[in-house]
Amino acid sequence: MSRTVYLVDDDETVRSALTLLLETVGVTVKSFASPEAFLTQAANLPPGCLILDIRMPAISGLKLQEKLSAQGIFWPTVIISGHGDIEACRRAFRNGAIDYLRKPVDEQDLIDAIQKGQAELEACQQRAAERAEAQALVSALSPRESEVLEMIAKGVTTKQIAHALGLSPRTVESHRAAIAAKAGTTSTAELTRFWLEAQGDP
Amino acid sequence: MKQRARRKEAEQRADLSALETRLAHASRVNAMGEMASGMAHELAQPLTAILSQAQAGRHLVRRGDVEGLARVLDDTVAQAQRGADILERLQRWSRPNRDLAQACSLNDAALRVKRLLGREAQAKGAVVTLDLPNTLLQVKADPVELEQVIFNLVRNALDAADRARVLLRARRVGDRAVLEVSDDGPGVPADIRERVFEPFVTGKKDGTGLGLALCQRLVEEMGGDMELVSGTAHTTFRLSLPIAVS
Ligand SMILES: Nc1ncnc2c1ncn2[C@@H]1O[C@H](COP(=O)(O)OP(=O)(O)OP(=O)(O)O)[C@@H](O)[C@H]1O
Ligand SMILES: [Mg+2]
Repeated sequence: MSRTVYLVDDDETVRSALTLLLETVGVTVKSFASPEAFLTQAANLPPGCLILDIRMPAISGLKLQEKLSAQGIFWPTVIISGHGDIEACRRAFRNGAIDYLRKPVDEQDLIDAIQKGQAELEACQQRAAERAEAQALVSALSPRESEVLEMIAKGVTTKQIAHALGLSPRTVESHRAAIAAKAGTTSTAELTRFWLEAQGDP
Repeated sequence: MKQRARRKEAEQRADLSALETRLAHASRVNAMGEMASGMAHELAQPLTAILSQAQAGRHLVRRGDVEGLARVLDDTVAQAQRGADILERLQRWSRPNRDLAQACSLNDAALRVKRLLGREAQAKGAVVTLDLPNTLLQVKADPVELEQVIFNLVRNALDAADRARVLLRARRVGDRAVLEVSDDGPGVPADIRERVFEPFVTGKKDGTGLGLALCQRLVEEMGGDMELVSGTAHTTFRLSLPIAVS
């Protein structure tokens, strides 16, 4: 667990006790006394798993989740709470929380939740990297090549592409070869994936 | 004819008072619900700290880090104590009405509180002044409870600022004894002003928010009422209690 975990809880002793526990098992923790304090710094922090208490004065943890999404920050969030308010729990999950733990929080549950969050963060960053790669590829194509790739992705045959674009099948083949060279693959499935990813579809 | 009308009136009155009883009961049940949920949250905090500290302590023992463990244990004891304080207050809260009320002197209660908090006031550079009437002000209350109410108010005043000037002023107004506890501190934070008497409303980092709620409840049991006086330069809590008839 190499990434920093962000802890937001207004109770100083809870904050320092949870920090102590996580640090003794090798997790780096940065804690915040209020959602406001976290919000003002969030944009400058490296992504990490967030542990939020949902009964805090001023902005509650739930509102914080909503405000973070509004800033485009979607970090895996574990909600901790001192009371089992079902409605609050439901809303937390609707806002994308990955887990909801009742206080007092057990060490193992917390660590499991953080691990799950960090795995999610990795996967998310992996996807983002793949998308960036696909986008770089597509933007390196000539306009004609990108037209051809779009049609390949739609499952159109070479002959049909040639017909639709008013080219000879050989020219289409050579465009395709150029695309394959740039993408480093001749597989239609891979090329299709590149196109779709570059379009931003999941 | 007249008799029937009278009976009807009596019945209506009875209905009304039954309704009042039901309403009072409903609001008590509601307050209990709030209380239970607040209590769960309040107790969850020290418990969370204790559990985390104990689990961290287990790791430290395995590593033979005795010094680290000793520090953790001190914190754990403090948190267990915090839990016990909350429990004690809740027990006072839920204790059934007892008929301990007796005529006791408001002046004496104020004096005792001043003495009890003397050292704390001194440590904070505060000055507590009494402005009491020469005549005896007897109210119907359990002396310990009366003292507790005043104690909480003065304690809050001392907490509000260092070097506070705190004034306890008692006087008789008709058939009531009125005690005002005022201080020259920053005043109750605006965002909790409307709710200061609700349980668990606190403006302090380590407050339970039960002090004023408990005071209000005790005062109501004494047949009196209390309020945060608005529009005064000093922060003033006013207590009004029925004079005991001997
Ligand atoms: N004299 C005062 N001046 C300023 N603020 C006050 C004063 N008295 C009460 N308050 C505010 O009202 C809040 C509620 O007071 P209350 O006594 O109910 O709980 P508390 O003092 O926070 O907790 P505890 O009594 O358990 O220590 C306080 O936290 C404080 O913010
Ligand atoms: Mg208090």
